[in-house]
Amino acid sequence: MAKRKFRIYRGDNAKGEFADYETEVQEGMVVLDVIHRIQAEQANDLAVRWNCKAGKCGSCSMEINGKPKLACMTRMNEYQEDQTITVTTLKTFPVIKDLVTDVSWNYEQNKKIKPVKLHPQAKSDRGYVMYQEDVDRVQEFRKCIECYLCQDI
Amino acid sequence: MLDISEIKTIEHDVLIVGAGGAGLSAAIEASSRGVSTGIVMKSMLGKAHTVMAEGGMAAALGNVDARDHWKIHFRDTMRGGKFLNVWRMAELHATIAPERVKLLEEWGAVFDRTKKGLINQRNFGGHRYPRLAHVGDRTGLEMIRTLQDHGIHQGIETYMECTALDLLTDENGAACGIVCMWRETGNFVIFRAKSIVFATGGGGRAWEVTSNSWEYTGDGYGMAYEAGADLMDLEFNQFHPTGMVWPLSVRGILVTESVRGEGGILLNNEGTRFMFNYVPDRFRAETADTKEEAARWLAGDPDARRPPELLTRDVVARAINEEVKAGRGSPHGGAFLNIATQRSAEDIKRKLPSMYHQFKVLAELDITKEPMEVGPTCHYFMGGIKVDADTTMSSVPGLFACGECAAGMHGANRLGGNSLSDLLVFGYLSGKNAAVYAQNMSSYAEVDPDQVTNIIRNTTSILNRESGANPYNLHAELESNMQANVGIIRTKSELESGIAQIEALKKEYETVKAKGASQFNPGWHEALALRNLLITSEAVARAALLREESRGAHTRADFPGEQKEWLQYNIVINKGNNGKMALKKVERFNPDPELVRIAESSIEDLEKEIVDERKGDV
Ligand SMILES: Cc1cc2nc3c(=O)[nH]c(=O)nc-3n(C[C@H](O)[C@H](O)[C@H](O)COP(=O)(O)OP(=O)(O)OC[C@H]3O[C@@H](n4cnc5c(N)ncnc54)[C@H](O)[C@@H]3O)c2cc1C
Repeated sequence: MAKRKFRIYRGDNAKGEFADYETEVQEGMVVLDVIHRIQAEQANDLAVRWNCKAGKCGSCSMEINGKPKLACMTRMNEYQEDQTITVTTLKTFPVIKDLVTDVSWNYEQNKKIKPVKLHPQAKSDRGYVMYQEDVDRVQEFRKCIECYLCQDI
Repeated sequence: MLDISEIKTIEHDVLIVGAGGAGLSAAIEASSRGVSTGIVMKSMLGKAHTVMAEGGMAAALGNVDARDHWKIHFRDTMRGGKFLNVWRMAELHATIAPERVKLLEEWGAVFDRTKKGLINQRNFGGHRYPRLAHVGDRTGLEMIRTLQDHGIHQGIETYMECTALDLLTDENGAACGIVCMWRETGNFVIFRAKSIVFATGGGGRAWEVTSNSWEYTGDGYGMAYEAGADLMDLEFNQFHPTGMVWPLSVRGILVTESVRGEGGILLNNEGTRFMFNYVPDRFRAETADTKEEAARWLAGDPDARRPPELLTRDVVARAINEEVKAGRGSPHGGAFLNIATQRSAEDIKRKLPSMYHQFKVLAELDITKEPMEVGPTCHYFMGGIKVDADTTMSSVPGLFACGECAAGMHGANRLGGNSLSDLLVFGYLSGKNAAVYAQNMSSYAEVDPDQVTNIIRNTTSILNRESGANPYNLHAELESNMQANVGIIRTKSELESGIAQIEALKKEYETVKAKGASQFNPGWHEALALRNLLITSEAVARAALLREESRGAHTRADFPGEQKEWLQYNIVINKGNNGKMALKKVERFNPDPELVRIAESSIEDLEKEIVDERKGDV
């Protein structure tokens, strides 16, 4: 256990400031764990999105020391013990509050994606016939968890 | 004074609460029937729990082993559920699942393929044949993205980060609307609807060690209970045998059953493959009794029986628990799960990519080289809102429920993979029946302003009071209470002290205080969810105390073994007239004799019958 220093953006799009926090960190913790601890003990209203805490849902995207990252998959031991960790939103998106941003643009884009049409000839009474080597490439794109980290440039 | 005419009101024929696999399936079906359909959710679209599902969805497609058939899926489900399942639900599920999975493919889901180019299926605990349609170990992502895109194209209206607070009912007690709160602003909104579908998921956040996300606070149970609906089977909480145990901060995060489906074995600290010592009589005839036979099964020998690691989850979770108690656990209090000795590194990375990544990042462990440490984690609610099997309507007219928040389909224990297929089947049935119900109504019922005022007052008083209990602390106390007193192995005295502590927490909850303003305030959201989590926890603990037997996921150390007498009953819970929780033992319907015959026949007879039936077909 060691005390670690955090600076977290508090505020909205119009105005805000960095707040300093200090809290105990145990072995194995990720940045999201620390944010939760700060939230429970010192800042109940600190706004942050998260869901699965296992790198699957893409909710807890933020900038950690300036780098776009998922807070649930960023281990504290990536940083030096005496290093202050600064956390802000992804700068691409307008801030709603603290670490929560307005990502609605992405949902507007979602509506524009054309529906899939499978080739009728591939249809059989047992479902569509397609081979693994042909779907490999498509599956690669389907891995996107919509964390929007890649838009943070 | 609150002026409710200033609150925005939105109307939909069918309003769905929850946008996981169940809610989205319901929304798609309802809107395809031409009724105006809205869907509200606490988090954002595509982030619901369903996105986390890993292993796959169970359906008797017979793509990998042609011997599979809905009857065998049904039999497996009933045996896994220790025969407490609502028979008709298990039948509907097994018969409808294959067509719904194929429809998901039509809508764009790209499943892993067999050599012949069909949807591939994998082995899972309790399933006789490879049955889980899957996409690596990220099946839930594929499911939710497909449904999300399809729903959007079909024109369903989505309301994100909009928390449902409580139902509105008309003078006959029928559901007619719901009051919600926008998380971003803290403003309220009233939805008026002709029918409402709950698809809010489970309540695993009541325990310390859980695979569930923050959303799993039993909101559907709490809101349905407050509106007078019956809840059922709440004592059946599935502890998944394999959650991560180390480091502490990731304790509870799921290690998919696919690891065992792909051949992973469980070992204690003496290197013994202990599951061979825990085979229940009911499954003995269908389980390998030597390592050699288990190895042959893995290599694809159709005559070899399944390894004991693939017994149902209740059995495996209890076995790990016992090994740890007997001092044979791993260094951090779990068991070793080893896939490294069973499969090549390349296979592991291809079949289980997110497990590989999860351990690499979170535990600094390479699962292609070393064993994982795993232990039980609270995972799934078999119980929930009591529904009619065919229509999925609850005991409150106009309120439907599907997915994890509904009861009945899984009985005393769910088989892995049967949830995702449940979402497709019962989501569809809910959407259909809620639409039909709405179409039969000529107009919207009047909203009772007093109900609205009450709901809003309860909600805002948490912010407005001067001081009071910290919601995070209350939640933490509840978690440790449930973990200690309402865990995997239960006793009368522990359950009683668990209930006493829940009562004390309910008292404290009356003074809960959220600091700060109403805009995106997690402390406030936490406090609001706590009401539902307390109702859920109380229902679980009281039902667990009443059921004096051990069945499936409910284990009473003081009442070992299944009791025939208890097979006759479900425990049904509702809010009594005095405002207190009321529990009843309700006798179950007599099942269709044909279903009983199928579930109870030997596997050899059933397989022979299916072969003969198919001969007749051609
Ligand atoms: C890690 C993990 C892996 C799993 N793997 C598998 C698997 O391989 N196969 C399988 O069959 N099952 C699996 N399960 C179980 C399965 O994923 C879940 O049971 C299932 O996804 C639940 O779906 P649902 O549609 O009922 O609810 P969810 O997907 O949880 O959706 C609930 C929805 O309700 C909303 N909601 C809740 N409360 C409110 C409220 N008050 N107001 C507004 N909205 C609200 C939420 O925002 C969310 O949109 C897994 C579970 C976990 C945790």
